[in-house]
Amino acid sequence: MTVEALMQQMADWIAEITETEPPVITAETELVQDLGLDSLALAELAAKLRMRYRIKLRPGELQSDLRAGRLAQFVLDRQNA
Amino acid sequence: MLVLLFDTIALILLLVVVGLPLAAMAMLLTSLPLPIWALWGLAPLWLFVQVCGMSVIALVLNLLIPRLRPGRYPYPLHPQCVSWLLRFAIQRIFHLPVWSNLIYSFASLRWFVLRSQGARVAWNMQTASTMMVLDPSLITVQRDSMLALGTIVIGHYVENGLLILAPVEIGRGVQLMGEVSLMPGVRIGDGSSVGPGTKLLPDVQVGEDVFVGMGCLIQSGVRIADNVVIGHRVVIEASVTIEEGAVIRPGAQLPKGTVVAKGTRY
Repeated sequence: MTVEALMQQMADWIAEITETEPPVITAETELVQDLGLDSLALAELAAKLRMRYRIKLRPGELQSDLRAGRLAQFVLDRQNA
Repeated sequence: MLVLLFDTIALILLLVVVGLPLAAMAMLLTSLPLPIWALWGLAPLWLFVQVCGMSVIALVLNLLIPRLRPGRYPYPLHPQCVSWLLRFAIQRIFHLPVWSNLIYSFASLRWFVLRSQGARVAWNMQTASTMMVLDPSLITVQRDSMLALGTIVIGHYVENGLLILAPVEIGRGVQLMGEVSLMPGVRIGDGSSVGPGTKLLPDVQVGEDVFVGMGCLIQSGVRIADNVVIGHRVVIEASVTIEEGAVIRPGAQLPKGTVVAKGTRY
């Protein structure tokens, strides 16, 4: 799994969560400011990441940096750790 | 008559828990070669020492009073009820306005006071100065957890002439936002968070990494598995089961006994 593939996966999940069309996501896309995700949507995204990749991802970790590229890299790093 | 008896016992406990350390400190202070302005200037320190002394007395008393066992007991004359009333009278002393804010403003003092009354609380838990832990000997709070403003954690309730005692367990890294209420028998798994104003009624079990929104009411016996997300202002009636990874939309109402399947949206 690459960062780009995970970002595409996140875009599909965000569409499912917000019940809209999949957003266009780049590495610099900010999940809160650019996509308007609220705390509930972020919690749902985190739950999907935890379940799909079997990683630990606490709420505080999601709030520190919400750019899509860095979040995808964080998930992959933690999965490989 | 019974009320007067318990009030008398509570007054005696107040005299013992507060009076003894106060008398000891008065003896110490009068023997110190300090000017009066220095004694007054150090008053906050004496208050701190006083609370520590009270905790030592509470620790001894709690060792002497029989341990609370979870269960249902005829109220108020069952021996477990008497134990509970004595422990309750002691813990109420620490909630008096004179020192309650001081206690919850210092991590070390808060830890010592709660531990002296039998609570299993982590050294590094964070709390607001206005939270309230009733029945400390039935409460567990693991490390890295946060209990915000106005949080209430209770290990008992009285219903139909019975005193019901049950432990409350708060796992690692749990975040309880403002004015969350946890009733007896509630268990919250590691990494979960509960939004402001949400109430968890008796015996609710919450798994790990669960997100519960604000203003929810979760009734007795609800089972919530890991990685569940519950929206704001959700009402979940008794004995509902929510399986892993399910999502409950904001404002949803789940009737009694509903089962929400794994990974689905309700």
